Amino acid sequence: MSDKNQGKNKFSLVLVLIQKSSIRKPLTLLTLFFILGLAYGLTLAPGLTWANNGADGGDLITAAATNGVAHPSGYPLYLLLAELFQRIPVGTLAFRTNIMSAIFTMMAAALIFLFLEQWLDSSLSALVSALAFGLSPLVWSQAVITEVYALHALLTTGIICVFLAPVRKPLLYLGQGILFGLAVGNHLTTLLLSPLVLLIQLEDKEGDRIPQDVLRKIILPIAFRFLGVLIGLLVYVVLPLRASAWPPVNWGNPVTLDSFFWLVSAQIYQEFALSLSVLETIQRFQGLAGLLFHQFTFIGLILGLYGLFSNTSSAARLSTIWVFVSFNLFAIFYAYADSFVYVIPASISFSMWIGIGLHDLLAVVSSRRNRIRSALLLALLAGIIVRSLWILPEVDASKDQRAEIFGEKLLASAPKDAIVVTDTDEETFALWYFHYALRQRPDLMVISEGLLQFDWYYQTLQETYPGLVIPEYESFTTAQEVVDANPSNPVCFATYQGVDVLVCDETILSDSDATYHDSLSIIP
Amino acid sequence: MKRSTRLLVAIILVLLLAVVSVSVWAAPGRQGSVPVPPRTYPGEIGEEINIGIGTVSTEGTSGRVNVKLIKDPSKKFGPATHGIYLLNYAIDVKVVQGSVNSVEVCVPLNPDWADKEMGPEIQWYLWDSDAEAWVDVETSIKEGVPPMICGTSDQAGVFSLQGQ
Repeated sequence: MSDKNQGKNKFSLVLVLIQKSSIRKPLTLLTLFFILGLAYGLTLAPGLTWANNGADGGDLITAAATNGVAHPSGYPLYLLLAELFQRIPVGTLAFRTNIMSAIFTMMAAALIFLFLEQWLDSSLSALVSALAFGLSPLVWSQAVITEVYALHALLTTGIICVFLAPVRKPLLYLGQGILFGLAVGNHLTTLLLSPLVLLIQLEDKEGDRIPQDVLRKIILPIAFRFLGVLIGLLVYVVLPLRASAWPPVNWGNPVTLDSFFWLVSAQIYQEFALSLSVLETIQRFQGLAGLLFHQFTFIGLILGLYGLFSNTSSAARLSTIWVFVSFNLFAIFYAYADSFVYVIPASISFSMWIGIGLHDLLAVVSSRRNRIRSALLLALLAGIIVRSLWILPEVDASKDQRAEIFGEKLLASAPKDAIVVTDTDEETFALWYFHYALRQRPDLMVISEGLLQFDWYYQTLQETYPGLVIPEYESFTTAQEVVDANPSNPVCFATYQGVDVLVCDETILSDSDATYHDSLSIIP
Repeated sequence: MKRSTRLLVAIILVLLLAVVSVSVWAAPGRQGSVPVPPRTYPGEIGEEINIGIGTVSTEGTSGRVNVKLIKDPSKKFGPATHGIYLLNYAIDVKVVQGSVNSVEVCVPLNPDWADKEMGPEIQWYLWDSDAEAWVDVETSIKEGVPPMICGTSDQAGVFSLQGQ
């Protein structure tokens, strides 16, 4: 036998093994991990980043590292997990927290794969679905920075999978509830999934849709789930515990019932709900259509919508439709500038529909020609991978050094014992990261102008900087009033204007920076 | 639904989406996790300061005042004296330099308030921080376009329009 024929036979043998044996599933899963790992690894931010709307990263990293409380709703579960990742002895503190997002997104994609593989009994369709999710620009963009959305995606996928699992055991119901409660402990929009808590699959083995034993089949499962939800929600207890030690990042100082409720209900952001004009709302709907095209392409949208109308089980279809519609509507009506990130859970549903649609369409082809089916699948996979090369520069956070340069330069050049006043998220959180988390320039006093309107921030500043004089008024204190009350300290106004990093003087800002000047309300 | 019908419906829906889609996500104004600092209105003693929802005028020695709007006064100061806060803001007039002997705070008279009688129905108040209570101040209506309802006091402080 020639070498060529021997090689051919070996290749065929491998193919047969992959198609028939039990290694098919783990091998496909490894492929998924390899592709996503490579994509995320190439684009992961090496340090603190502002890329991909990631300015909040500085707040989350610092709150986790200092045993603090992050911005509302506090994100207790995220902080606990971030603390674990921050113990990995690799790279900078920010890098370690960024890795968490990549790993959680890969786990979410793996769950989508496993769920669909089980459901459709097709590894390749499930792989396409998981890749469609993991390599969609929005999901990818959040997988390479510090943000809560990767964990949100993982928990949402987990909830969809376990709530649709055809198992009827009290412990599972309890586990489902705990998972839901924990997920609320990461992101409040998980509450949109509440109807799933009431979802009970009534159909039993005999196909009887009306349960004979209402107590056992309906009331007990729901009761166990609610009990589980309450247990999961206990994760919020860590917030007052952390706050009681007066960390430098201590949003809301949630040690009383009022302040705790203020924090966890995200009261300061509630004004964004339903505050868009009619025109803006219409534009948001159009923007969502554009976003869908950008996430899944023309072919992906056709496959997904085709999959939506496929003959799937009613519970699965209803659940995924609910997730898709509720999260998209929330993103549309929440008047926050980057509320488009809230559609990530909707992308989970849509990716699943893509897998279902693909599987259904391929069933037609496979009944005629197996080779055509394989060729089509491989072409689709190749298409997804080629497209990811096109998306890569858009989501790439690996080269974004703006936040690092800003923080390091500013702290290096600020005069001794200076009061450094910050304005936006970018400036505030970057300085918190370097000053509080990395403990650079402990002589400085960093003050967020926007937070001075809150009593809890006065208290936090007083605990953090005992030497700082903060005048208290009936209304609120401005940064200028704090500056006036501490005449012996030099003053810096930290601002970031595009590529110009450093505006820090011992006096107030230059007149050319009129916008910032206005926002500081400096008395002439 | 047959496969071909499903595929056709999916293609039509995608074409419809393509027609309406835009690549912009409408976003009103500057936002962030750190809220925008509340606006303040600095001015000279003796001049009329426009505070957006009305005006603040002061008399006294030369110097400076700073006016701040306090949103949701009920959260900061508790319930209104007789009923409700007619404005969603309290107005904090603070003397930064010099002294004042008269402060006048005016806001446009809402047509809904036109029939109200001065006193419990509509009245300007000044916050007494020692007693932690609102103290009524002289309230009058100034004719003009639009007519203004004004509160006058001989001292600076936090003003609030309340009524029933």
